Amino acid sequence: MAENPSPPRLPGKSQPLRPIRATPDGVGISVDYMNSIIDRIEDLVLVAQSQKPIAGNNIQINFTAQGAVINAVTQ
Amino acid sequence: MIRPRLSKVASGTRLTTDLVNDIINRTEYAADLLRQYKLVAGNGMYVEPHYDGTRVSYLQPVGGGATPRQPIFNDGTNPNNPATIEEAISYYDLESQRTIPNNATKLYFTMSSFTRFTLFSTFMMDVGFADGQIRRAGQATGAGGFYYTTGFDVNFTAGSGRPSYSGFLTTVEFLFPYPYEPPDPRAKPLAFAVLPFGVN
Repeated sequence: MAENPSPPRLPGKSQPLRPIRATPDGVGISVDYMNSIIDRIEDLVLVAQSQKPIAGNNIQINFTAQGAVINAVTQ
Repeated sequence: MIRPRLSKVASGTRLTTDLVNDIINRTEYAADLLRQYKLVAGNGMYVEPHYDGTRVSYLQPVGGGATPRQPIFNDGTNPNNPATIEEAISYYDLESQRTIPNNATKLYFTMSSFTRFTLFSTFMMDVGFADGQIRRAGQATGAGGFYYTTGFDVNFTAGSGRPSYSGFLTTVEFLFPYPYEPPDPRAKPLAFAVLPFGVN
């Protein structure tokens, strides 16, 4: 059966995060892994900051709590 | 609220409550931005989500993309536009053109075709609605010395854009020209244009 293609990766240098496993002594996390979490979050912030919609011709955008409402400009 | 950029940690750094909260706050900041920027369709638009992006289009039967239907002008000079009212009626699937007792012309725009549009004309005109109300389009002097309307926005957003009208409007009729009546030769619009926005 054909499968849908995977969505493109987030832009940036970060890699997808993998879940960590617990050990009998608790949870250990390395400095490298902590920094990969931070890299991933910072990439996510960059994507979010760059995705603000911008109106094109005959388009008006109002930012509301429910989202960015797109309207056609009437005059 | 903007949260500060996260700093890399060094070997030996304690995983403190403050560090975890900084990570959480920065993540929530990004999530809040994404919620704000989620696209929602307003009047005459629709939003179609795709796995690789969000497509925004006018709510019109076009082949795809945000290409509005082109306005019509009956100035008789552009062969690509309807030159007559009859052609405009056919092009926009309008209801009919009728003659009233004083021989002025009415154009009927069925609301199954348009929910919102703007009308321009070289003459002042009265716009009559199915409920009997009349609105008169504005008038200004153009650079060429002739008169044109400043545009008449008939806002028929379904269910909410017509609080001042009574009853359910199914038809809008344009009665032109004003104030001339046949056989006055001026009783003929020099040009008019209809710019539709959205269909039902």
